[in-house]
Amino acid sequence: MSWPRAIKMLLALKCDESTRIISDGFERDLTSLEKWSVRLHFISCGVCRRFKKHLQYVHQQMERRAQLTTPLSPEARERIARRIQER
Amino acid sequence: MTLGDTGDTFDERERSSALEWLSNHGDALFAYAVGRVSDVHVAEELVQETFLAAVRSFDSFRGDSDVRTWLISILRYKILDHYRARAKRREMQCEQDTSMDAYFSKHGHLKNVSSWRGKPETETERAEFESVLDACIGKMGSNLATAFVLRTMDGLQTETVCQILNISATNLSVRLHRARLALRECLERHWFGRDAE
Repeated sequence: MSWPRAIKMLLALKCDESTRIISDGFERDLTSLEKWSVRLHFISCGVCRRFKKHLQYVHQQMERRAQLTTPLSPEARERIARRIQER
Repeated sequence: MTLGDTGDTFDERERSSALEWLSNHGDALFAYAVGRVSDVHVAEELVQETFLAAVRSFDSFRGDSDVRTWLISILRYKILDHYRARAKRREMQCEQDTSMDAYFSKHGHLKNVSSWRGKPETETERAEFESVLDACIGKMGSNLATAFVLRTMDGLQTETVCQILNISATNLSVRLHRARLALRECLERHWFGRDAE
């Protein structure tokens, strides 16, 4: 990336760009330039800070829920087997 | 009416395959479902529908993936349907393609982000949060919802998701960005910002 573009990214990031980088941050490691752009943007943008916080919370909740590993109860298993046999 | 419930009868071979899948993959499918819909009874129902639907579409199973992966992919559609039904029940309109203007002002500022409402603390609150979350995923367009579920809930590798959806990595990143904007905005309206009204 050219220097003028990098400097613009660091100093004049818009919320649409910042939220895109925050979203990418859930997918992969961000580059230093991306990290610093968002950090500097956060100083003046409480809205994007909250955006990230809300999403972190949503992700945590989804992970927590995905870790539930209850086996199928014998009753439910029995019921499903019956439904299959009725066909 | 769901795919698995069209009332046609199974022959002996179909019945025995379904029973075999139930005994080999029942727990795995149920664990997958309950990790995504919270409600045990709904999860059981979705697993049942998956087995019934699987028998009907067995001909389309070519054996290029293993049986469990194939069953999970059917279950995933059932779960997405369930999310859409949740959204409908809450009278949320499904938005196929919200323009970015809905989220950003003319000057590029993100709109409508209220302060933190506080985490759900009690079990009831948490269940309510999860139900709103499911509905908000159901409210997204199916392109966004599928990408989001595959990548975020199922934790599949980016390359795998791109392969399944037949899109580029950049395209996936755009979809996930839009999905997160849509999801957060919906949660704002139905959860985070509710007390601020």
